[in-house]
Amino acid sequence: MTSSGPFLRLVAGAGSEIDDAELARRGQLGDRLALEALYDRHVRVVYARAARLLGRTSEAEDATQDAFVEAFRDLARLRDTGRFGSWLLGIVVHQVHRRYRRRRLLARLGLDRGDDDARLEVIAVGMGAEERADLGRVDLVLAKLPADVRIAWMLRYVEGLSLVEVAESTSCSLATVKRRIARAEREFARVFGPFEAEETP
Amino acid sequence: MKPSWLRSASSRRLPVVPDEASIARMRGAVFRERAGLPRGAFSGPWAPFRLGFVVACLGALLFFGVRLARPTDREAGPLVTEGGVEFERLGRKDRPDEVAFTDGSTLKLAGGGSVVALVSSSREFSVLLEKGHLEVAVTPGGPRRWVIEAKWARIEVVGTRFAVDRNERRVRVEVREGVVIVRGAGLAEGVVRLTRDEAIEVPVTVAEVAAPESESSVDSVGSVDSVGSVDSEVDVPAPESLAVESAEGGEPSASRARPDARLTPDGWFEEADRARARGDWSLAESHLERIVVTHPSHPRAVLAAYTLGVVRLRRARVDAARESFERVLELGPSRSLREDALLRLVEIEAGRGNVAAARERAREYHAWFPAGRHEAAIRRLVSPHGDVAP
Repeated sequence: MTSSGPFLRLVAGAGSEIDDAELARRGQLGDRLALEALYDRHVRVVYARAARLLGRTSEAEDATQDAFVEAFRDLARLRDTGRFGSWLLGIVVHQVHRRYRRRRLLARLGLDRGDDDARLEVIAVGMGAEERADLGRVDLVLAKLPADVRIAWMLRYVEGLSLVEVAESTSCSLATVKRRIARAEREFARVFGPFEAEETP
Repeated sequence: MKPSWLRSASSRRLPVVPDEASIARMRGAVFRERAGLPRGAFSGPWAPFRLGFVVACLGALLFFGVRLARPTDREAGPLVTEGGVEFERLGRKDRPDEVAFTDGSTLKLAGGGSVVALVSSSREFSVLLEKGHLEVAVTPGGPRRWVIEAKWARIEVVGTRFAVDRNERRVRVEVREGVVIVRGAGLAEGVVRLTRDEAIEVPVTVAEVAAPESESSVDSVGSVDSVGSVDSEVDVPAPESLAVESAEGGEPSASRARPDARLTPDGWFEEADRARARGDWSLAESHLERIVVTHPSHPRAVLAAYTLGVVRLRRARVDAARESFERVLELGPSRSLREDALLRLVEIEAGRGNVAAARERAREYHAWFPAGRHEAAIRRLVSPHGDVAP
């Protein structure tokens, strides 16, 4: 533990005086308060992303927790501490993958009793019935897709990541990401009709 | 340009916010883990072996035919039809318009409409009535909250039988048994509770009206004539109107205001609704009376007369209420409003001890409605001990 703790607690609570890079660097040195500040700064985004990707709040909580444990454990390996956020996202996506694999196994055994309480149409609070109906159809399409395809499509269109960011966070090549997203789009086109999504890199 | 469904799916529009308790719980687990404290049975280096052991045990159970999970899944999972599939849609041309679920609940569609599943989980079953007439029978006591969405109205069910009818201008909900909660922006309080034999029409909300009718002057409204046109006011109400028809003492409810409509009967009607919502019965009576007296040929005059009767009953002005309900009959109401007005008249006469007059109204009711909705109530009122037939 370094001696910078009290100062760090103050500035971390106050806002953005210390950026992720500095906090991660101090975390690498074992400063617990720096890690807490990183946790506070990112936990809501990580949880929200995990919940949307998994469609279940209970699993999202586990995935968030495990992602932070893994991130803090492996923090020393992170060379570019300024990329802490995107690095953490990659870990979250990995945790989401793990949960999909576990879910598939439990489903085969007839033991998957999780409640899909974070499906898109369920979390669409404040939207009209028609929009929720659309999201319900999106959920139905997503449920039929393999996990890697589903995750790639959701990162791209729900989370709004660029193709490069999707590739980085899923540890895949750009070509693989494009192929997965194209596959998902074919399924969506079958339900919603052909469409042209905005093409941003 | 993204299609609308894809825009709806943006994370900016789909926030998921963990509660502070969850954040604290996760924080505790994360930093406990870092401190080397155990987290749970399926964490740590031995986790795969523990999980494998559990999976092996469960596999053995299944192998020996102890399939306890199946029935439990059926109870706790999504609601499924008697055919064993998850409900998706009603209203396809080549499919039946009725579906029965394993818990005994049913959905029956008519009027060429369609119904789409929104949510089907262990806790909630929600469908969207896109159009048409839907008869719903929900088995009471189930684990799921039933919700019927119909654009301008959201119907929450507490184990009951009821019907929902949606067209381009309004949603009508009629309760046969039990209780339902209807929510909608077109309702004065945003919500209303309906019980047996009650009905409500929830109109298109103001924002949904693409081209509001002109209401620039009293003259233009006054030019609406014909008693025949009055019939349409309950069947197809004006966009911002709302009427609760009650057989058991319920009252007409409120409507959404249009600020620039105050000099017209529509405006008075809305003012009356607001006054009633505030409990200002005197002002409500004044507005409604004004409509009935000064614009008897206005499409809303019949509804205003009926509402006036209800308000007067509320104020214990029974004779005045009787006059109002009689006025309803004179103005040529729709069948449902005539039926309700006659019931009110029977109630009033019976309550006053005017047995002959009550029987006369009851006979009138039976002449109009040989198998009416209020037949039992009227029989009870006119012949409370079963010794005097109407």
